[in-house]
Amino acid sequence: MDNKSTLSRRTFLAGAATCAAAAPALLHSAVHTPFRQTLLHVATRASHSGYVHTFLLASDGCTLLGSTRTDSLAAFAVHPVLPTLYVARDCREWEALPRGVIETYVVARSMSPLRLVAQTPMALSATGPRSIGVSPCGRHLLVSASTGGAWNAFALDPDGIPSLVAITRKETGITLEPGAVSMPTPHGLVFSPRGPHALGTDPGTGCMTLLQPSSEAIAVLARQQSPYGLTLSSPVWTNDGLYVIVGNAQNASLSLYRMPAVLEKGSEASFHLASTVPTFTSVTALVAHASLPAVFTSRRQASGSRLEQWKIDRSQLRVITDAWVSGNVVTLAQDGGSLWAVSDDRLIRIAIEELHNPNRFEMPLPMHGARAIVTQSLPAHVIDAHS
Amino acid sequence: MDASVTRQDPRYQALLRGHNLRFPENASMGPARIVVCTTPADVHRALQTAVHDGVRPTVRSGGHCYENFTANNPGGVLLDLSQLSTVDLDPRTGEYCIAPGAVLGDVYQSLYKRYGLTLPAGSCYSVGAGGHISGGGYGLLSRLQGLSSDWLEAIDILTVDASGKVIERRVDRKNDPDLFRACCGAGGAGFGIITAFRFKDLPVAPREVVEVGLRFPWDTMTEQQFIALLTTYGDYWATRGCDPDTWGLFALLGVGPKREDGWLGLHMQFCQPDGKVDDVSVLREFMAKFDRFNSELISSPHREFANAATKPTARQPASAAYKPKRIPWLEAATSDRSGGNGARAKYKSAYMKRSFVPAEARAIYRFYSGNSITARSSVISIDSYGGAVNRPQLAAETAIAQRSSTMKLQWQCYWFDPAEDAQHLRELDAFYTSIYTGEHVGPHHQGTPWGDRYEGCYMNYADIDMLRYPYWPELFYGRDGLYEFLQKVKQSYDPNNVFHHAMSIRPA
Repeated sequence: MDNKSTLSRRTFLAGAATCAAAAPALLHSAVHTPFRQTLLHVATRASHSGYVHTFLLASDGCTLLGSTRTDSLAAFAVHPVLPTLYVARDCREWEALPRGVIETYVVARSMSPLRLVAQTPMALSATGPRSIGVSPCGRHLLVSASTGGAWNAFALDPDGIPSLVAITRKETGITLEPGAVSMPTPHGLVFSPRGPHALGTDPGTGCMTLLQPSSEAIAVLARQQSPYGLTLSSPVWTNDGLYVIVGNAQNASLSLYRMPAVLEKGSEASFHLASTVPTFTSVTALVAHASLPAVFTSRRQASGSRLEQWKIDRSQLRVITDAWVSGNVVTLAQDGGSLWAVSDDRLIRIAIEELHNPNRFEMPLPMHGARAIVTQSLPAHVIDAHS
Repeated sequence: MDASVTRQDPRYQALLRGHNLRFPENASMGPARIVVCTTPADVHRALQTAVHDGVRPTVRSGGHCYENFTANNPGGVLLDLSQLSTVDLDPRTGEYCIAPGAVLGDVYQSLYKRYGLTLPAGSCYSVGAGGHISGGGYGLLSRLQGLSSDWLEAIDILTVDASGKVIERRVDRKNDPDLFRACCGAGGAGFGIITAFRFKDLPVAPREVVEVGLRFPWDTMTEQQFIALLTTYGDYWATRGCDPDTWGLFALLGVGPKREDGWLGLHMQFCQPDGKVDDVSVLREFMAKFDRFNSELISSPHREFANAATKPTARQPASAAYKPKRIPWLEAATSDRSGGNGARAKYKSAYMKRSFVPAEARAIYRFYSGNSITARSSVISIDSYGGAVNRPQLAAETAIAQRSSTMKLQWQCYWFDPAEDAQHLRELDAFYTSIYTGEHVGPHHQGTPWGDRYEGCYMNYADIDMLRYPYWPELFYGRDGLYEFLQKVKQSYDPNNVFHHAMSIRPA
C-alpha cells in the first residue's frame, strides 16, 4: 500500500469501525467531505476473460480512466472507506486446489486505475463465488461459494487486505420445509447498513440466512424459507436497515422482509415476510436507494427493460416512478441523484428525479458482456494519492 | 465419552499435531476444536454437530498423514479417533473388527496372540489402522498376502446425506457395494468416517521369518556400478520375483546420501509361502545377485537403516557366508517401534512395472553424490511389490489401481528447522521430477511416473506437488475409469462434499 495516502485508515478502522452503529454516521460524514470524487466500476466478461472498466463520474457524464483485465470475474465489491476494490474470481482451481480467489486492488485516478495488491485464496472446496460484500465497518469480507455450497469470510486488516485464512461455513441442503432436501447453492448476499451481518440467499434451497462473520466463525443468526423460491439477483437492504427486498423465482414478484431491530449472536434474531408484490416479469437487478428506504429494480419488458422505483409504505412495496429503456439491463448502481444502469453494451445514467425523462446520458461500453456495476465515492486526495 | 478440546485448553497443542510437524503451517490454520472420540457414538455425535454448525470435519487416527489433510482446518473440527482403538472378534458376525485408532503394532499383537492371525499391513508400529487400511495398506507380507484392504469383508462408516443427516452404514459386497469398493483403497478420499474395519478371514501369521541386511560400499561406488545395482534389483522383481515361490521375500533397497557414513543398503525379510523358513534358497538366490557389488552383511537391518552412521558388524562374503537366523514373526513385525520421528517431512512415491533405466539410476546417483542439504536429509526406499497384490481381479473389486507393479518407491525427507521448509520442498520436488524426465517418459507426462513403465503414485504417500499435473487423478487412481467411479460414489454418499481435503475425490 502506498504510504503517501493521507487518509488515516488505521485510525478509522481501529477506532470507529468496531462499532457497527457508528458506521452509518461515519459514512454520512464522509459523504459530505468536500472534494469527493466518485468512481464507477463496470465488470464485463466474455467466456473466462474479463475486464473492470473504471470511470470517473462528473456532473455532465463520465470519463473512462482505464480497463483492468480480471479473468473469470464473478463478482466485485468496494471498501466503504478505503480506495479498495475486491474481485471474486470464479476459477475452478487456484494453485491446483479447488477454490476461488479474492483479488484486492488499490484504486487510483490514473490510466491504470486498479493495482493488484493481494490474491487471497478462498477456503478449500469453496468454488463458484457469486457474490461478495464488505461490512459497513470495513472489517469483514463475505463471499458466497455457490458450487462449493459454502460461505467464506475474511477479516480485513487496516489496509483492507483480507486475512490469509478464510473462515468457511458449509451448507448441507437443509431446508426449513419438512422432508424437503435440495442442493445448497449460496449465491446472493447483502450487508446490513447497521452492522456486520449480512443476508445470504440460496436459490438451491430457497433459504435466506442471516449471517454474522467474525474472525473465528460465521454465525447463523436466523434462517427463513422463501415461499416463492429465490432468484439469482442479490437481495437489497434498505438504507434504514429495517427491510430486505428479494426477488422471487417461482412467480414474478418481490418480497419484503422485516428485519429485526437488534442483531447479534444469541439474541432472538428472526425476520419475517411482510408482503409480496407481483412484478409481471421477473426482476433481474435490484439496488437500494442510498438515502431513502426505497429500492430500484429492473425487469425485462418487450425488447427493453422496465426500471422502477419502489417505496416502502406501511410494510408494502409500491411503485412511485418508472421508466423504460431499450436493451437488457443486467445490473444497477446508484450514486447521489443518479441511477446507473448497464445493459449488455451500454452504460446509462438516469436522474432519479426525472426517471421517466427520455433524455439520458448513455455511452457504449468498451466491451460487451456486462456483469456488475458499483460506484465508489472517495475523497479526491485519496484517489490521487495512489495515482 | 468424548472430550472436546478448544484452543484455550492446555491439551490443544499436544493434540494438534500429527507426526509431520510441518502441519498446521501456522496457528491460525489449526482447527477451532479437537474432539477426542472413544466410541462410534462419539464420532456420530461429533460429526453431526460439525455438519449442523457448518464447519469442516477432518479425521485423524494414528496421525501419520503425510500432507495437511487433517491438522489444517481453520475454524473446523478435528475428530481424533486415536482412542477408538479396539481389536476384537465380533461374536454376532464372527468378524474381526479393527477400530481406526488401533495402531498397527497393537493390531499385530492382538491378532497374533489371540487368534494366530495377522494383517498384511505396514512395518511402522504406531501407524493408525484408519488411514493405513482405508488407503490400501502395504507391508512386508503384502507380496505374500496382498494389501490390507484386499482382506476387508465389511466396514462400518458414517456418511452424511444430502440433508446433512449422519447415517450409520455397514457396507460390504451386498450392502452399498460401490461404497464398499471405494473404501477398499480409497477410503481416505472423502466418503465418510470409517469407525470399524471388519475381516471375515485373515491370513495365518508366519511362524518365523529370517531377516538380513546387505550394505554396499556407497562412498566408492561409481555411477556405472550404481546403475548396474539398481538394474539388477529391478530386473529381479520384474522377472524371477513374479514367481509365487518368491512371494514370501520382501526387500527394501535404501538409497541415502553418498558418503563414507552414508547409506546404500538392502533389507530383506523372508519366509516360505507356507509361513516356514526351512528352505531359504530363494533368499540365497536373491542375495547372490548382489555379491559382485562387494556387499557386506549387517545384522540389524532395521536399526541400520534408521541410523545410517552405524558401522557394520561383520565383513564377509554375503550370500555364501550367510547363516540364517530365524526369529519369531511377531518379533520381526513389532520390533521397529520408532513410529515416525516427529520431524518436519516431505514424501513422494512412484510405482514401477519394470526395472530401472540408466537415466533414472543416473539421476538418483548424481543427486545423492551432491552435497545439497536435501540430499543429506533424505532417502529413497525402493520396496519390492507385486506377488499377491497383483492378482488381476483385485483391480475391479477394490479401489487400488496399481496391480501390475513390481516395485514401489518412497522418497522421504526429514528436517527440523522450519526455515528449511521451502528449500527441501523445492529440491526434493526437482529431484523427483528429474528422475521422470527424459525419453523413458512420454512427452506429455514428463516429470511424472506415467506410462508403460509406471503405475503412478500411492495415495497413502500423499504428495500435493502432483496436483499441478491436470492428470493427477490418473497418477493415483489409474486410467481405467476408477476415478470417475469414485466421483459417482462421492456424489451418492457425500453429495455436499462434507469430507474433503486437497487430494480428496472432487465432485464431478
